[in-house]
Amino acid sequence: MADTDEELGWVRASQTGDPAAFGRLVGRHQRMIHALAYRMTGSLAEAEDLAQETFIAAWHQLEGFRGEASFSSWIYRIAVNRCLNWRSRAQRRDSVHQAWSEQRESIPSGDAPRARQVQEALLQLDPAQRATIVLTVYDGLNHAEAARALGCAETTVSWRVFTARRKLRKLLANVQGKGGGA
Amino acid sequence: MSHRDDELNELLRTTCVPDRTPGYWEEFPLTVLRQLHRPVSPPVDASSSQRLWAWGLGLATACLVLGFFAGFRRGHAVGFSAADVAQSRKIYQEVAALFPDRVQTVLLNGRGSQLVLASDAQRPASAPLLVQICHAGDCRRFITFSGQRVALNGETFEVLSDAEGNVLVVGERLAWSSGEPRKAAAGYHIRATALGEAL
Repeated sequence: MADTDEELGWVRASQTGDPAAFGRLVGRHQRMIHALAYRMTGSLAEAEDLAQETFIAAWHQLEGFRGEASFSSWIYRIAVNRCLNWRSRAQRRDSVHQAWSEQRESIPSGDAPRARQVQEALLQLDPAQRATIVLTVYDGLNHAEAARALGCAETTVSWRVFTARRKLRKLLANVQGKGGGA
Repeated sequence: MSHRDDELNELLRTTCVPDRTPGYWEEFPLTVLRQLHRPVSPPVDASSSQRLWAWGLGLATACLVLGFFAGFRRGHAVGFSAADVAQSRKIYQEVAALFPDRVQTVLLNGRGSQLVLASDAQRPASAPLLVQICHAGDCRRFITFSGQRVALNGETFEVLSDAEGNVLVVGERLAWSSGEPRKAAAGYHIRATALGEAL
């Protein structure tokens, strides 16, 4: 997640209040943040909201970015925290979703049934476990990197991965394909 | 990593993130920029920041309850007149100046105002929201933010705002939206409005 000189220039300009430079940063990292948010929520609309929240929070926190980590790592951590917080808010907000009949999108995918089951299984994990799986399996972070992103110990990440895998195997036991029935 | 782990990973990766249209990716940065109402403040040097924080924490500990004569009184007949909103803005501005980015809720009642402060400075999740909840003759009025919780008669409500500017009040027995203010709310009478992004 190394920053280019060009990107560092955008970061510095954004820190002086240049929205156009910040727009370029958004453009560069929007797909990564959307993907993370989608993995965490299973919803395109929620992912869009979370991505917006993440970038807006980043804008307001830019003064605190000192460059010790790369900008992409920094904003990724903001997104992870937002996603974890989203889950707790969403749980309390279920009645609102029912009352206003907010529609959760179906999961468009080539192999839709299996993909849907997998996504639903992910959503049944504890949010911290899900975040750990998303970071390590989908985004390819090692346990040390995931621990930094999640703000916890590496051993905690390892334990969460272990327990999440155990639960996923049970949840996906009936899913055709490898891994589920093992 | 065991073989079983590899197989599980393979199965997990069968879920692809749905792609968006090129137009979406072009528009998204602009959507974000349109929501950046507040300018970035210049960096504060660490020592003055720590002094401010320590000063604020001391004040917060000593002055959990501050008296602000706001002119509000209890009663379910109280509405949000322009004067009410203006007064609430004034109160919020005074409190926010004392505790920047740490105000979570200001409870307004007939005896003054009670503050709920965060232990650390954190940008609020929304513009300040003015919320009044009345039930069985008892009314409480709050200035708070999306995601915060308020209480009346032992019942807790979460206040939320959505992208359309509606204020939602969610409790165990009700879910009320300023977008549908007349919707039945289990005997509760609720009013809510955003106090404005410019605060």
